[in-house]
Amino acid sequence: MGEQSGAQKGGLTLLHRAVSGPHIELLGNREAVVEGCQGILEYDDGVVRVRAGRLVVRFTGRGLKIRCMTADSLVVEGFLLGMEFMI
Amino acid sequence: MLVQFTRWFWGSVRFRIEGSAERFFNHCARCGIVLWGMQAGETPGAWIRAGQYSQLLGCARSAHCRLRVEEKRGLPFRTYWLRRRKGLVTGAVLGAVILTILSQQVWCVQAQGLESITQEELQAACREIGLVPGAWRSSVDPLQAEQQLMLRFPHVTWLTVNTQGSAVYIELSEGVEKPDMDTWKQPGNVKAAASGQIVRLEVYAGTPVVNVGDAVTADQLLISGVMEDPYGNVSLRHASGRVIASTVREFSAQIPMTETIEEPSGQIISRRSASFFDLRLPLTLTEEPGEGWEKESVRTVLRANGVELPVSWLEETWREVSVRERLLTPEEALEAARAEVERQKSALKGLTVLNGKESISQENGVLYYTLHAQCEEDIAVETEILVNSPN
Repeated sequence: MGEQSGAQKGGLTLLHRAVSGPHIELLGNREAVVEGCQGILEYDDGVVRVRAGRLVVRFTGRGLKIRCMTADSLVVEGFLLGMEFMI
Repeated sequence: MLVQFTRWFWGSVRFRIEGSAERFFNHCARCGIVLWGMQAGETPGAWIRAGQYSQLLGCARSAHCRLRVEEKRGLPFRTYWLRRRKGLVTGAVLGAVILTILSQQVWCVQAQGLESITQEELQAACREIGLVPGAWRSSVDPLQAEQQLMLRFPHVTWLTVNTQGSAVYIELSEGVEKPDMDTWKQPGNVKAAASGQIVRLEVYAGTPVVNVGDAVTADQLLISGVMEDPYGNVSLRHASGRVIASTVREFSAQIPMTETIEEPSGQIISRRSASFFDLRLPLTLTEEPGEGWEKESVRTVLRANGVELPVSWLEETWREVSVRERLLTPEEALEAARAEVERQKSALKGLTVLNGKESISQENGVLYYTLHAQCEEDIAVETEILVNSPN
């Protein structure tokens, strides 16, 4: 196997993400970092629904807030009670 | 903390979203607009940097939302009222700049402990080493200034230069000159300074060669410094003592019957000027009058907390004087003559006038006054015995 170039590596990463879905990190039940999301579908104190590729991720809890948000990532904080993946 | 300060410095706006908040937030995220404090629910809204608020309008249009500003915070909104007062802002900025520059300079040089050295001499010395109002504080090296000033004034025992803010304080102590003791070590005699009759004799050292009641002439030996013991050994001493003698002295004074006096004509010119460091700003357009005017000037230095500021106010009052001659009355001339004789008497130390006889005459517009006085005075004068022979 020969060495892969940077462009090849980047393309593979994007492909990998598209195939495998979003990258979600949970900090206990207080904070969730979602990378690879395409936008908010629903935002309320009790529910945050996010589109992530072919998935829709639904966070439920109390006092949920979107602390910051960029084009492909967001941070949800609050008292998380559940996380659902809806296909 | 830094984030909060940045938001306060640039200003932030809290707005309310009427419509779908989710769509609006998505549009903002795609446009790269940074929001914080995003709230959903019945009253959705968020915070944004004040300068970026106009960029939200495109996102709101795309998301079919309407935005309502609810709150404004930060420095730009606090200072909004200053936008119409540009002069005030410019003045404040200029004031801050000037204060910053001036605080880097020396404002005053104050000296303490001056006795024989005058303020002007010290100022001239300070000026030569560059320690003047207006000099940069960074260029002032107190230790070097101390050394240079000590070299210029060798009789100063200690001197210190301290800088406190923009003021430079010089504290010094002048030494007491050592008295010349050589005279006291040399053997000497006491001679008479004037002719007279001795009234009282006080011998501190030496052998008296005159007695009370003797008449002596000027330069006559009164107390000898040559001492001889009972065995015939001779030693030299420094003779000293007081020899009070009754003497006759003559004091005279010549007073012209006319005197030149300067009288103010009543015309006064006032000139004012302000000084800032070495810069003098004339505040009146009047030129300096020439001859025949007397000047009286008052300089008022601005002070703050006991520190002289580099701002002073000079007020000059010029009075025109006319010179004329005045004829003295005989009484006035006699009074002036007596005053002159009194001055002559006071110049002779230890002189007591017992009685005197005045003689007054007037010739060619001059009053001649003579006082023949019988006095008592100390006529002792110490003289050295020259013992250093060539062999």
